Amino acid sequence: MGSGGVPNRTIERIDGKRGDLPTSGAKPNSRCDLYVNGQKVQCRWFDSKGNVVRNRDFNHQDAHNNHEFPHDHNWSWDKGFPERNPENLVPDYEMFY
Amino acid sequence: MTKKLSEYEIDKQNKKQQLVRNEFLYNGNSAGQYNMPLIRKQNIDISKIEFLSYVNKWKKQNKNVSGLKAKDFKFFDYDDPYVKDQMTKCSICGSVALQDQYGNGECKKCGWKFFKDEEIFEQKIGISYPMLVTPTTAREQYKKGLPFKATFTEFVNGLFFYSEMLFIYNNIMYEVFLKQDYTIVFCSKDMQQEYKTRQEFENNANISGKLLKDIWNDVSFAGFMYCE
Repeated sequence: MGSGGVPNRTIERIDGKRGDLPTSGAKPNSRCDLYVNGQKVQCRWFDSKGNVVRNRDFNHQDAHNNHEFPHDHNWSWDKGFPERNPENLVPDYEMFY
Repeated sequence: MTKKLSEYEIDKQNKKQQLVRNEFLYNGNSAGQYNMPLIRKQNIDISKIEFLSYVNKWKKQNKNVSGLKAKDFKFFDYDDPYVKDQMTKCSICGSVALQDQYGNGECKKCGWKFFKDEEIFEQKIGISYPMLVTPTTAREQYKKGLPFKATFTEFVNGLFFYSEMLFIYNNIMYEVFLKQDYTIVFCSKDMQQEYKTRQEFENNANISGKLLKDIWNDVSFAGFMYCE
């Protein structure tokens, strides 16, 4: 984060609604934070090609408490298109911050 | 704002005061409006001075300012990488839409959100992102004046792409998500079902005995799982 609470230029804040974070065609080597109604709900990290590599969900629907928050998801590009791994990972704050 | 000083501090200041110009630094008159130090007092009508409130004057979207207090503001150039300033043709309704430099955009006329690889997504995954419904289905729905809504097959395709989905039926929100072993969990506040395979889910998932694939037309919304 930069001084004064403004993110540095590798973190983009997007105030919007669901689906506003891309899976590809993003700014290379960046992170996007999605805010819905002022609340951060998701972070997404992108590689040097602007493709998503990691996802962090801070909150979403959870009727039976099947999820722990926050949790991470890996994205795979093995097939030439993105696929989100269903496994809920413990947030990796060292590699993805 | 004036500071409340103890007798000791006042006495200390009196002993320290040596120059006339320091008069306003002591005797409790060292700070003026907004705690700014006074060098010389002037009669200024403060009602003519407007304090810039960060909350009122600067929206969160204002990205060319750092600092949270007006006196700390530093202005710099910021190029928003996602500014939608390029014109393109909407792939659904054909009207002019705006996109950013990476091909992400939104059509204001029909509401279609698109990105540069949407045709590839339809071919390889059978969905679009973030709309879920494929462009082919969306064009048909647009021609009929129907809202964009994914078919049941597109919904399941989205499940295996994103792993966490939801839909709304009879004003009740239902979740469908994958476990680590790709077991499909279908649940709401009052029910939970699990299926081992995609085919099993498609053929057996039901709400109160009604198969999901049969009542899909009555689903009002289907999409990726996000916080509202």
